[in-house]
Amino acid sequence: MNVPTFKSMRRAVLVAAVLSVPGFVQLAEARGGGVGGGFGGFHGGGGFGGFHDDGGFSGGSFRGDSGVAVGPGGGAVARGPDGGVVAVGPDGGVAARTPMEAYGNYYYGGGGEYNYAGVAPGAVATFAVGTAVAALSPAATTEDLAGQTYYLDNGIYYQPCYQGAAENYCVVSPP
Amino acid sequence: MRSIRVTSLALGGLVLLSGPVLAAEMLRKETPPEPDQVVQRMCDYLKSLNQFSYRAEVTDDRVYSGGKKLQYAFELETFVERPNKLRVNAEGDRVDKQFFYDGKTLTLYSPAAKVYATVEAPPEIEGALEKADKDLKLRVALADLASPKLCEHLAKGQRHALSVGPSRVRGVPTDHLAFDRNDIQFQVWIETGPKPLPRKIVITQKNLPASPQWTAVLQDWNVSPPLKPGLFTFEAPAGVRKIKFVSVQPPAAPVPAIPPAKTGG
Repeated sequence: MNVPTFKSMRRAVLVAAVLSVPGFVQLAEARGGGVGGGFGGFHGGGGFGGFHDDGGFSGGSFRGDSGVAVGPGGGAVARGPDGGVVAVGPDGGVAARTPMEAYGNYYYGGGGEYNYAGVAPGAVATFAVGTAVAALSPAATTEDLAGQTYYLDNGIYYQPCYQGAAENYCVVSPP
Repeated sequence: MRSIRVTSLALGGLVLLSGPVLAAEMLRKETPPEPDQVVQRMCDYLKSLNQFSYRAEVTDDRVYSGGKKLQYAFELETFVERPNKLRVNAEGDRVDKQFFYDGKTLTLYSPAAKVYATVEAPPEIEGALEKADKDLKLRVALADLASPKLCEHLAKGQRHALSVGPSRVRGVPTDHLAFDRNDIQFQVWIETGPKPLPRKIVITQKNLPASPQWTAVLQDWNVSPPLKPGLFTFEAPAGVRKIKFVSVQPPAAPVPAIPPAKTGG
């Protein structure tokens, strides 16, 4: 994993990631660049990717506690502001992976924004309407229904959404 | 630290050589400015400006397992017209976003992802930022500088204030100040002289393992910038899709312990 690959998240790079066994990451990448390609971030093909977080956009705020607070046991406890990106995919694997994860799990940024996708696998596992993931599996498909685009991944419908300033895929009711 | 040390050294020497009266006079001259007062001057000055713009080079630490950090960068461009217009562009390694507020709605636009979301907003900047923060969990980089309540936000949970000493940021003379709060520690370098503008800001997430920092060097300040009509109002380009802000209750998941980075390794 070289440096240009790290930087490749610059422009809505699509990262298709498969986790067949929890804890084992198999990366497959597709580079879109956002210019002229089909990979505009939420436009499909070969897997759907997005951003785990807002890339530091929410940093530089003085409005009080941001992403993480210290819990009763002295350990940090995640609680906002980017909303609850769910870490665990339908198959029990972690749904969101990026090239950087070869560098280790990413936890949070200097803006205090928290990467819920970096929460230990198994820590969160709900796929209720209103929760979200940072990326979909390569097997995800799109469906255009009633003027809306839905993403269907392993039987669950998603639509792109902002959680704070982070672009994610929100679980929605079946159309 | 450095000014404190210099002051006490000078004081000690003067007490020995010249007696306490002269020493007290020197101390008065060398006493660094009260940090809270310097910050208040900055807040008052920014508040007095009907409009302003600046650019900033921002770096954002990201913490990985094992305490490793990578530093990413982006450029920030901000335009403010009081009382009810704000535009922020951020583009760089991992971010490509634009924030629009025109007194009626606020919009977040992601050009690369070709999506945006718009909601109605209160009729002045602080109200809009408050709504963004509380309702949308949306925070915008350094947008607090445009708020008339900037000093209130800065002072939240403050535990300690320190005047570090004079410093230069890109050649501009500044006062270097440090503030410890419950949630973060931040440093700000404020231009000395009649325009007390923030020239550099460092926020340290001191409660997080590996203490990542978010740093901005602010430049190209313009206190009477030309502001084009339409700068603050978003119009969706062709092919850009509207999405929603979704506020989700985050999970109360424990953060895994990150071992401290090994030195020299």
